[in-house]
Amino acid sequence: MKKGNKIVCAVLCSAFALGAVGCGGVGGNVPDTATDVQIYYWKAGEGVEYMQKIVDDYNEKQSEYTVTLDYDSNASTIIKTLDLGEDNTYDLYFTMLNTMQYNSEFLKLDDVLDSRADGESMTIREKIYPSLLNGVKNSDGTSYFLPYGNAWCGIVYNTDIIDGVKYEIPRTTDELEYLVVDLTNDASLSKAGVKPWLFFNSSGGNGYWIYPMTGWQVQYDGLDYYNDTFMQLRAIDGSTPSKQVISERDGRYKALKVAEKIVTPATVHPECTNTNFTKVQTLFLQGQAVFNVNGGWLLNESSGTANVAIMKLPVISSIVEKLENSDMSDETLSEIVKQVDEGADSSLLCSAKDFARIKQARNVLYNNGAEHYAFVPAYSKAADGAKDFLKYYYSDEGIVTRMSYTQMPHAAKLTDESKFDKSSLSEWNKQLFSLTDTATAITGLVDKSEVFTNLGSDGYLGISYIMPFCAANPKDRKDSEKVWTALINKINENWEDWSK
Amino acid sequence: MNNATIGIKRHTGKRKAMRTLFILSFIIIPIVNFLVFYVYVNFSSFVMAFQKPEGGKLVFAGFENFEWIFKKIREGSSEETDNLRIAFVNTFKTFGIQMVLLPIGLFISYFIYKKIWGYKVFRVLFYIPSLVSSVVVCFFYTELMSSSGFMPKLLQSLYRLDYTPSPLVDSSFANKMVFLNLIWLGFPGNLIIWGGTFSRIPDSIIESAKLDGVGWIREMFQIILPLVWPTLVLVLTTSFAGLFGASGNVFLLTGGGYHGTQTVANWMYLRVQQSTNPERSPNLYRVSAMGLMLTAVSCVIALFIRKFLTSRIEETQY
Amino acid sequence: MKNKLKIHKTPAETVLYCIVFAVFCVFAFSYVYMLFWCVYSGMRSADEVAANPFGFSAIRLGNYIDVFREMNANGASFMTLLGNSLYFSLLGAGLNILVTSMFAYVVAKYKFFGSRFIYMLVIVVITLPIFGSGSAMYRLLYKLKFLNSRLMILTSLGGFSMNFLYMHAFYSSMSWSYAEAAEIDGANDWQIYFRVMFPQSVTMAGSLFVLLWMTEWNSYGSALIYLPKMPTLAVGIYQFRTQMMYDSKMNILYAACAISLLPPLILFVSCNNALMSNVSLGGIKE
Repeated sequence: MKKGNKIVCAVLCSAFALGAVGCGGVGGNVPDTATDVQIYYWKAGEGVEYMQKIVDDYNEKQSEYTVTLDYDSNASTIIKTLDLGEDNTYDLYFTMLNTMQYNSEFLKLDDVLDSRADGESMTIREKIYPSLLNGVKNSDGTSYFLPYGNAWCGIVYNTDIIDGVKYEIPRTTDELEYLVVDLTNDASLSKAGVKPWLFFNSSGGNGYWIYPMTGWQVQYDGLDYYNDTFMQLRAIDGSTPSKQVISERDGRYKALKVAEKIVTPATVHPECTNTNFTKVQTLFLQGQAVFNVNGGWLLNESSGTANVAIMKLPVISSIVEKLENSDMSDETLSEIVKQVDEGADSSLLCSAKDFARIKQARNVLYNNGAEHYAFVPAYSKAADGAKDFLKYYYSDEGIVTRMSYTQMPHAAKLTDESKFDKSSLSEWNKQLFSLTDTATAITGLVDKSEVFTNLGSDGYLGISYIMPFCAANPKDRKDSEKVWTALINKINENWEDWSK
Repeated sequence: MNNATIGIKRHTGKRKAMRTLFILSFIIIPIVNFLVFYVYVNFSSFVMAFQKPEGGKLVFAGFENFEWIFKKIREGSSEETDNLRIAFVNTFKTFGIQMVLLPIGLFISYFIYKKIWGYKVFRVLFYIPSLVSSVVVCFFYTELMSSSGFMPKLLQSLYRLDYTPSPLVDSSFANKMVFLNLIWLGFPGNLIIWGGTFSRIPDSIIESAKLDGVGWIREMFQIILPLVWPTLVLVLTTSFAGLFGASGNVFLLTGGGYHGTQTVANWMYLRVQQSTNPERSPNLYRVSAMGLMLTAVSCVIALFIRKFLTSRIEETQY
Repeated sequence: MKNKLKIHKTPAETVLYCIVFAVFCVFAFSYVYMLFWCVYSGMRSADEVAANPFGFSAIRLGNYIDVFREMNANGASFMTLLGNSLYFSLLGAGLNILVTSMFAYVVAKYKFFGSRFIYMLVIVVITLPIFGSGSAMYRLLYKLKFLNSRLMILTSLGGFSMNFLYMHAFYSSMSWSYAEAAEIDGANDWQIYFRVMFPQSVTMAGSLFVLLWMTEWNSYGSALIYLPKMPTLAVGIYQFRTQMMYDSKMNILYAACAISLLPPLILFVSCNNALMSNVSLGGIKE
């Protein structure tokens, strides 16, 4: 009897507890006050250790605010908290968003950008690499987002095979195309089962191909067109979103033309259909392929036996259509690219204008740093504390902490370069730092038009192209024309919805 | 049917009050739980079916969400994952396979019940698919389909192809492989339900049938089947009502509906998973609308089947 | 009796049994191989697992120790994951079965206003798949402060499930005479349930508990959304898999999977007999 009653009591108590909880009062580890800054950080390739250190240092340095760090390796879990609106207690995010659908709920951070860390001569706006900052700027020039990462992305190659002796690093996409053919026909490579390409399949998506594809698109269209017209879908008359701009056979189409030639059933490793990119990455680093599309974090994630490096993006050969000398041969183009790489400011082979165009093209490279950004929800109670922490994050001290822990460049530069010693870095990481000094970052996913924003997509609007180019089954294979037609069909089918 | 009502009339007023208190104490928790986590949640969801986000706010949408769904069913979609026509076809196919697997599962439990050689071992081994998390199962299955697995070469020689297919991304095979996975994992059927049902068949019935010289087929169909019929009816009813939930491991195998493998259930899962801001994601509301429609249709199907089989259900007192 | 059934097999039946046996063996082998593959892959080096998933290589038992060191889901160690798993799966399943059995008992044995309606309602709830309520659920759980909280366990106090039907069937077919005897001895309704009726249903409830526990043990879908900071083992494995992008240790993942498989496997092997015979849905007509 006693036992029975106890159980009943226990169960009833829990029922009451349920009711009591319904009225609120339980849960929440950190008080949601103006001095408690809660950070939610996406634990990605750089790990969380550096951020914890920065938070600890910051808490030690000052007493006004208490910063706590939460992190998750799954960005969706983090984004989900934004659904809560004003109930959300997080004050500062370091993450990516699948789509930029929350813009209106964030604080403008221009005051942070225009401030200086204690004792420093440069404003944070001056310290952050302009190409990264521009990538996350609003179309009116203000900023909700501050880039906090810096990872160059593009074509990674096996330096044991592309050794500069037997095979040279291609400077134009035509050269890349010939190189891929040569590699495919290389008997010793075939015998070893080494294929030109190995990349992962992201189920209907295009994996990391967005990196080189966007690069080629920008090379062809020019950076200004990409930033001011394409990303904003702004027509000549200023109207937006423009169906004409999004349907234009622009650099996206030219990039498809390049991809369809280099990625074919014959040039890809059979594991390119695998969605498990850990496996794909491991196989690439074991030397089973010559090229992979990837980013600066590659060697943080895994190590292997092959020596690899990231290449500057080969200049799209069809760029000559946009030059004053539209008859320029690919050899000449390649020669000019070589001069650009050697640091020339002009060339005898082309006009100054063409040279500038080619130089710009040669130096663009995708950077997903702009896809890792910090932002503060407008309803945050500790917004001032969040901003104060951001100032510390972009101070030289914060930058050095991050660099030492991750061995990777920061989104902002140091006021004094000597504060961080690069000499002990690996070749791979040295290369990432040197790209930071020379390359112009292009960013793709942080879009400035609501069409992309609401779709959460890149310029190809979620149309799959890489798998159709290399599908083993002829039935599944598509050429660039068919892919383009699919893209146009998708626009026509949905434009009414998108342009609302 | 024996019941506690016997004798209730004799109770005094105080006893009656005590009894009411007793009943209340036993039902209050599940009822509150149900009201909060089912009724309330689904009511909010119901409202969503008639809403849409516009300019960061939710507005009344009338039947717009439903129209969108019908359009995607009628015309398909250039977006592979939004092609609801294919999704419905695949859902029906999946359901068909499940319906074929159902009697197979019944037979398997029957043979285990009839103590086929090694039945004790089979009974344990056949439960493995239910014990192992589907993430692990699909890792294994995906590896079988990869270039290091046996499936690509097998398919190549089987279909006399001049190329080696990648089964999970090849539109000629992807769906077949999802179905194969379903069959492979679903083969043993519901051992618990059938095992439990068979174990309750009195030995005397089987033994006397044996003595009468009843053969295997007659025993199965004329003795066993009628005995398990009530359970079968219940399982069938719930299966039919869950028709639209029929989906294999599409999400884990083909990443969610590519290469012609989409199902309705997976479409809904994907769209919810990929939606972020409730004030900006029209797909959330379309999913609610779809859910509402399917719920209504399932309701009709379930009622129809119940009516059809009513007399038998009444007999079962489950 | 076992022998009797065997002796009477006709040649046709023997052939049939042989065929069925062969088919059974094929499927059973494939399942066992999958288990073996998971356990064995957990003993190989990460590079070899990637290069040849079905190959053989040197065994490194150390991986299974590394799991405890390296497995880390959002800061939670392997032991923490294990603890969370036990809390939510054991206590959750236990409470659920208790509540369900009490609920089913009252509905089956007492006629009160709405009892028939509740019974029908349960059937409706079970048979109707309702979709698309994830977002509404998230908001509700947030408002209740259940997210990332041990209070999440309260959501398992529901009785509108298939288990209700099992329990209902069980109690319906149970004789009331014991209860009557107890009633005459002066026992009240609570005493009748907990001292007379519930003990009789313990094997049945126990079986349902084990089955529910095994399901909960492996489920990660909702826990991933609602308990990201209180990860269970299944969530941990899932998260470890997403972290895979950043350190490719497939072998550790497989080892963790193998370890997480052990409890349900052991439990099932040891009590499958009871599970099979104690759970019955439909009454048998005699």
